[in-house]
Amino acid sequence: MNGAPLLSVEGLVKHFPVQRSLFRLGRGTVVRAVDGVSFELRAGETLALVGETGCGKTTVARAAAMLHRPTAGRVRFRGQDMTRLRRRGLKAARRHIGLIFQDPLSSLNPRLSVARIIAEPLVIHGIGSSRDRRERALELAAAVGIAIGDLDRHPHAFSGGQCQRIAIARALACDPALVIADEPVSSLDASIQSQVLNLMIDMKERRGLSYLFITHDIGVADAIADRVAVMYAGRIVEFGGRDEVFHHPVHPYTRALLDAVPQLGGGRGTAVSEPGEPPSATSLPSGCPYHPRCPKAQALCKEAIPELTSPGAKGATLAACHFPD
Amino acid sequence: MRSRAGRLLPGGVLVLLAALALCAPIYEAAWGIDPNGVDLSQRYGQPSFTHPLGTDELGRDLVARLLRGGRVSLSVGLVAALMATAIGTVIGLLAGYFGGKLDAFLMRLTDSVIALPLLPLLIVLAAVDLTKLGVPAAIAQSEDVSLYRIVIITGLASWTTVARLVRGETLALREREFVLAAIGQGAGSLRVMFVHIFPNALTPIIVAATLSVGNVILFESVLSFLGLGIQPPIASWGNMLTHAQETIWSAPALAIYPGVLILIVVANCNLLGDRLRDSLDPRSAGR
Amino acid sequence: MTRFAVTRAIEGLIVLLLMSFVVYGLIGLMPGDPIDLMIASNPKLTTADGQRLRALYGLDRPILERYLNWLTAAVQGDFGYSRAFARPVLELVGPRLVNTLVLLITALAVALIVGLGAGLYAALHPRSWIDDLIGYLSFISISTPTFWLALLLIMLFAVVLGVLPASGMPVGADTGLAERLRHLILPVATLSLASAGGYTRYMRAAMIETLGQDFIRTARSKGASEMRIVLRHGLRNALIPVITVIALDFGALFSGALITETMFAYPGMGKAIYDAIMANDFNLALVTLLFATLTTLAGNFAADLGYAWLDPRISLAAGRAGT
Ligand SMILES: Nc1ncnc2c1ncn2[C@@H]1O[C@H](COP(=O)(O)OP(=O)(O)O)[C@@H](O)[C@H]1O
Ligand code: SF4
Ligand SMILES: [Mg+2]
Repeated sequence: MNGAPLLSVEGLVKHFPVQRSLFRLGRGTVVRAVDGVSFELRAGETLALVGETGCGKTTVARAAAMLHRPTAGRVRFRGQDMTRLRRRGLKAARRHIGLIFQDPLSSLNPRLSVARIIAEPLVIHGIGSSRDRRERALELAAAVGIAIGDLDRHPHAFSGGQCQRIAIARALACDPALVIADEPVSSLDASIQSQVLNLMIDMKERRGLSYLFITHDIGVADAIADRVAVMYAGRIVEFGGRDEVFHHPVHPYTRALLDAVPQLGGGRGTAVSEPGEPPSATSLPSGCPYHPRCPKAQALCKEAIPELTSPGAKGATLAACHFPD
Repeated sequence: MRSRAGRLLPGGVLVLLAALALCAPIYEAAWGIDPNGVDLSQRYGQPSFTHPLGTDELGRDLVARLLRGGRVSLSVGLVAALMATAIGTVIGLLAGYFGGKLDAFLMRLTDSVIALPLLPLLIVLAAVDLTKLGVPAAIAQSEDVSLYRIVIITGLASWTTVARLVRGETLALREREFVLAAIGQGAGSLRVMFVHIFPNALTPIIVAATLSVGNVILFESVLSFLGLGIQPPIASWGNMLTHAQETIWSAPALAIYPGVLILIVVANCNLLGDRLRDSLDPRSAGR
Repeated sequence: MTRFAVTRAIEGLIVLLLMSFVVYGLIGLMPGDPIDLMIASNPKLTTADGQRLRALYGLDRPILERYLNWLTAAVQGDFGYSRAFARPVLELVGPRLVNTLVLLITALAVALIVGLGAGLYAALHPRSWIDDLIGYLSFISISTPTFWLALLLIMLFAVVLGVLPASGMPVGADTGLAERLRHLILPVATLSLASAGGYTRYMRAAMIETLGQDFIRTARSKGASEMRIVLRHGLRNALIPVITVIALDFGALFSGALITETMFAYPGMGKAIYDAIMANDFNLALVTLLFATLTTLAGNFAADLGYAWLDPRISLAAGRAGT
């Protein structure tokens, strides 16, 4: 298991056309939501993707789940190139990937009972009889802490935290190898956040899951991640082990992010934000997209885009900077 | 009128009319009347105990004809509106869900159908000789065929509103996270469209369907009036007016009652649709 | 703008072409058979003659081939002969098209003045009793069958009061203007009353929505006069959605014209279509239907251009595809 990565994303690019009209095909600008992202996720690990709102995290997560067709690049899951899979192959691969979204209420179909929501992946993949599925739904509900008596109720009867538990149960229904969670705790109250986070950590340990965990909250990333990828303007700017990235950042942007966070592990108010505006995804600056805000920027930064490489002495960390710390 | 009871009033009126129409056989039995019974000695009869609203140009009891006509007009309206809603829903779902070229094509189609002068086309459709389409003469000439034909024709004319509406809803729902979750779990297009999108678009669909019942009844009445819809001796409110232009002088009541009933039904369908829409969308400024 | 106009014109042509094929096919499915009708009206013709005629007219060919032959002739201006009138179809269409356009344009103008005016008034006085009255009247307008409305007007003005003619608009060009106008009053009244209710409702809704928007509040807070707010800012913005709806309603307007013309024996395209179909006059039915389509497409096109003129900011293509 240790050899091949579970998920590998290679040179992922996703551009959204801004204006898609019948008569002006081909013209118009594009939003460069993701502009060349590569990373590997090993079996059993949790990789956190952090960055400010709008930097392209959600787009990466959705492309990794093939909810977006990438403009360019590959997404390999267990060695299989998902971008080349046709309907059947894709469906088979999806059985092993669970998804959790940011807005707990919106991620549950308001017209279905919770039992049906949790069991739906089983129905889709034709697993078990309807009685087996009901049983499995009960089991999962119990595991995530939803009262069995509530299973026939509809999502609006539940709080945000409970909805997210239901979403977790659904994501785990088919015993996935990978769970892609896009800001799963960001819209919850702080106290509920840690409960849900603990549930996710617990599930991971018991079921041998791997997480691709998206968050804009460094505190949350610090609590759950094994490794961290920091994104800026559609690219990964720093990638490495959690402790190295958070305690010895080498990219000026990562440093600025961490400086803006009062104390790590505080749980509260650790959301990523930094003075100044991130660039507009429709018109990125030339060279290093961070150069207009970077205190260390030099002439080269305006011209050449820095590649994500090892800055040498610092070991396993990768950074995309001409002048790393 | 803005109270809850006021909101439901149009629905109540419609239910009442439908119930009355369903009671036609009871009325006929109680009064000993044959709704299609021609009695030339009784033409243009005045209201009396045996004929509460009088008789028509062939001496048939007007109340019985109105009730029978209501049955036909209401059921044609209902069935054709259901058909139109089904067609519109499928087209709207496909366009909104798959997007791209299919969407562009289907919406151009819808816009084109909306832009067409529908009534002349419906007249052609109503005039089509079914035997030329290979329908056996026995069926093509049977009485009931005009019923099925009118349902199909008016249904074909009324799907466009539903299609645009469902497309809009689908576009919005397609981005919702529970739909993405279903796709991400491996659900096929049909499942996503019919388990996840359709049930959540149902309320606006019901509004559009209600509005199209009124629309269909208007189409049915004019086609029947022109002699191309429901064929006599089956009564419909539209074909009861066919000879009204000639008898306006002698029997104005014959021209009034069916028209008033059409107006009442259509207005209440429109009202009900409007009220439903308003209660779903508090922003809507329409009445 | 030009590019948009050209694209729309081409689309319109495609729709027209498709329609001509569909209608050609449907007309062939109408009862009766042109050759049988010929044989019936001429006792000297035998069944064998019928076969020969069929071959002569190409009626034994497949539908697509017949259609293409028809299209080739039509493009050269040869639309065939009307069976019922025994005249070239095109000769019949001309004056009727003019009559229909007179009816449509007059009725549209009246309906727009009445409808937009009433809608505007209602929007500016929401929840007043006049607003309520306008609301009920527009409801009745959209819910009344047009043919029945015509019946009522005939009953009232032609039968009871006897002041206006119920039918018999003269076809010739030699009739006096006053006489023509008298014959126009009831048809125009019918058609415009039937359409005005819809326009009122759209206008009221659009205007109320517009007046609630931020830029209107900004204008108010800057102390612009109420009149200026309503006319300069409100109306222009409210008209944009209204025009879209009116464009979409052109087909319905023509349908209304058909009913009106039939009811008042007004010699226009709508009545011609109805009569041609009832008389199995294939060539006339086909051509009148196509001209009817052309008329509504042209109306639609004009409304689209009006839309572009009112709101040059909005990309036309995106605006239409997105709604
Ligand atoms: N469907 C879309 N169409 C157009 N632009 C989009 C779409 N989805 C995301 N974007 C744009 O792409 C950029 C990245 O968005 P996203 O991936 O949601 O960022 P994040 O999740 O990090 O906040 C943003 O500028 C966003 O506006
Ligand atoms: S490349 Fe230059 S601008 Fe970009 S982060 Fe490094 S130093 Fe700053
Ligand atoms: Mg996001």
